[in-house]
Amino acid sequence: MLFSRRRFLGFSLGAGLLTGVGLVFKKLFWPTPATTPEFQTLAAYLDTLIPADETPSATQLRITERLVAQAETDSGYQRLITKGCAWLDAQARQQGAAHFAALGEAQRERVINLAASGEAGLLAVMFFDRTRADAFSHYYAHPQSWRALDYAGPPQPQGFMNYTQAPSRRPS
Amino acid sequence: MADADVVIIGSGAGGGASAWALARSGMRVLVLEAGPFYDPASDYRLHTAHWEQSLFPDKARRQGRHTFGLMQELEPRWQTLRSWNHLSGQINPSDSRIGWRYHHVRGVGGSTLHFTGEAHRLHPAAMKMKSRFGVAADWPLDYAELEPFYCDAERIVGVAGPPDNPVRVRSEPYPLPAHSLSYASTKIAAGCRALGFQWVANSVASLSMPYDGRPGCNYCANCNRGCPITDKGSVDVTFIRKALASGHCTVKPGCQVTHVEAGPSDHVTQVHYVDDGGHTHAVSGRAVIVACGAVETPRLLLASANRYAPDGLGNESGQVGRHFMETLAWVSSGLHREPVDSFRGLPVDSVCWDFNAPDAIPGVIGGCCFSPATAEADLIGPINYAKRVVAGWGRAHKAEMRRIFGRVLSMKAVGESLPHAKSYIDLHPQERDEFGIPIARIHSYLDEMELRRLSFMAKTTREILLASGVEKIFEEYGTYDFFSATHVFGTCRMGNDPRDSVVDRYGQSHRWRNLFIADASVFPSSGGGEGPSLTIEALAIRTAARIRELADKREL
Repeated sequence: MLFSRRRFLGFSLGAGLLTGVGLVFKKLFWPTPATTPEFQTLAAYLDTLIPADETPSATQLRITERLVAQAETDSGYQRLITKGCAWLDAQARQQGAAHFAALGEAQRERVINLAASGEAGLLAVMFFDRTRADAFSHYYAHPQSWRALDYAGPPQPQGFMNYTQAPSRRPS
Repeated sequence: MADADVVIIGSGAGGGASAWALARSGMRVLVLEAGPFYDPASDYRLHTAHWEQSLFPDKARRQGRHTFGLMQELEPRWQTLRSWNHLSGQINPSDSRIGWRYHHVRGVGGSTLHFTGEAHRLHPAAMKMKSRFGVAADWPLDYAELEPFYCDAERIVGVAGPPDNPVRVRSEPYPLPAHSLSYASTKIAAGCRALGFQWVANSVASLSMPYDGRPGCNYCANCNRGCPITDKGSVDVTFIRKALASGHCTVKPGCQVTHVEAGPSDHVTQVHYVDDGGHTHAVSGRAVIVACGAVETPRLLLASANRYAPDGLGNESGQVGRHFMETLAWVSSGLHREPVDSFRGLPVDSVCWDFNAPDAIPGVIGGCCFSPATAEADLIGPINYAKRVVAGWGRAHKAEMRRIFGRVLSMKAVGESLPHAKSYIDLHPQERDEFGIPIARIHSYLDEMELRRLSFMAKTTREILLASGVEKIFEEYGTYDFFSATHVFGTCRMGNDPRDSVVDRYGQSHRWRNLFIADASVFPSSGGGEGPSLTIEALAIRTAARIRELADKREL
């Protein structure tokens, strides 16, 4: 729903490109098992988007599996993820690594910045925009991610009976 | 023998309230509802980790469809009314208004199932827009006549509200005391007062204490996702519950009415519907109440054209579908400089009525009101913060999430909508639903007056937020560049003159003696931002009283 003009137009054009190559990516390749190189690339990518600190990383909360499961009934998303991971690996090979997961953290961040900025073209930015949003949706639906936010959810059954009080806050 | 004394089509605010009032009087009532029953204990997801991933769970097997007519071009001079987010930019990238959505729930309880629960009486002056301000049309009744029925509705719902209201005179106090303001709302209250505005507790259909077998609210801020503990006074747990308990009311879910059959002698004869199994049925009653809302009611009436009603049922005046009015709204969101944990409390616990009167906004006819909107903007959970509030990704994103989670303050303004010749509902000439019935087409146009009002709403919303301690606004959206309506009105308006109205002062069709309408399509004006559900319920109770009176006199 939230698109900039550039991304909105890009998405419309890119969807057509993906449809053209769709026949290649048959259901045989999805869901992609956790041992495949593509899964490893996706996991490394997600762990760069959401690394571990005082709260778990994306893979520690099994976000890779959730994203793969989400795409299981969406062949267009399967193609986007597959092509996106292939792009990540291609960037890695340009830097002398076998695949994206073999890059160091700083290198992985530079590659993702290319996608996020739009410099790398339509497919990369589509892949980044969509997977970023979905990764956050899955990650922040996990109670272990709420700890550091001082969020005492879910909203029910307790509610928030302290609603009139100032938060007893963690430091900024 | 008739299947029921009264057949009611739709079980939202109007259908539910009229069902209760009629059943209470001993009349046999049959309610046909296209959607299902909802079970508060099991259908809502607020107790799960995934609560934020979806909004209200639409579970109707058949979701109604509608389309939009050609939307207006957007003008550069109204650029400040475009919707935007600091991360994704302009949300509507085109140069035309987008017909996004008419937000309507199919289910027993109707759109009250997902409403925020504001329980407002209309400003008395808003009922006299034509005679006092030269716009729209006058209601064929005044506030004083409707007042006792407002009291009835408030008692059934369990409305909690503040004691003083010099404009909306009351014959009885609210059933329940007003809720306390959330901590976040106290910041907005301070900002509003710093600007010289009055900020008061809102009147809401959420219980401030246990009442009528339902518990008090526990302030989870998620009225829009469905209330699992039933403190929110949606129609299913109030009017419908009591109607069923009377023993005089039957509710049939999953029943899509396809047409109401007009017959000779200015009477409707049967209501035809299809059940969830695909079987067709026809039922009759001494009276029929249509209560499907201001989009689906005109659709049903127009689609019920036959040889006795060639222009559509009740459309002798040509007014069915005309005078369409909609939600005119603006929301701004920003980050407060301190933690406020704004994910707590009632979504709309307070309000500024200073500009609600029709002549309160300088240079503009039609008022508005201002209130908190963090919950309605859906900025009360971590997922939406991650996607809409915090830029970037990686460690910096996580650190920023920890710093600012709970600091969003959102404000909304909802304003008067005036009828316009270019705003109406008709039947799509080609598109049909699965039963072959034409779907509704929404034509909506915002003219100069609407946009000047919306401009005032946006400007003032921003001022209040910044005065409340918000450092920077990061997202805004409004109904200039998107049609997005929860409240719709006017398409079968009431009036004394059959030439320019569809129903009379009691909601009775001018021609069809046993046909009534009980929803916001009968409103001749929208009000200055008031939530319409309580007014719909009051009117419906009054319509039911009229039906009872006519039945007792054997005129039905």
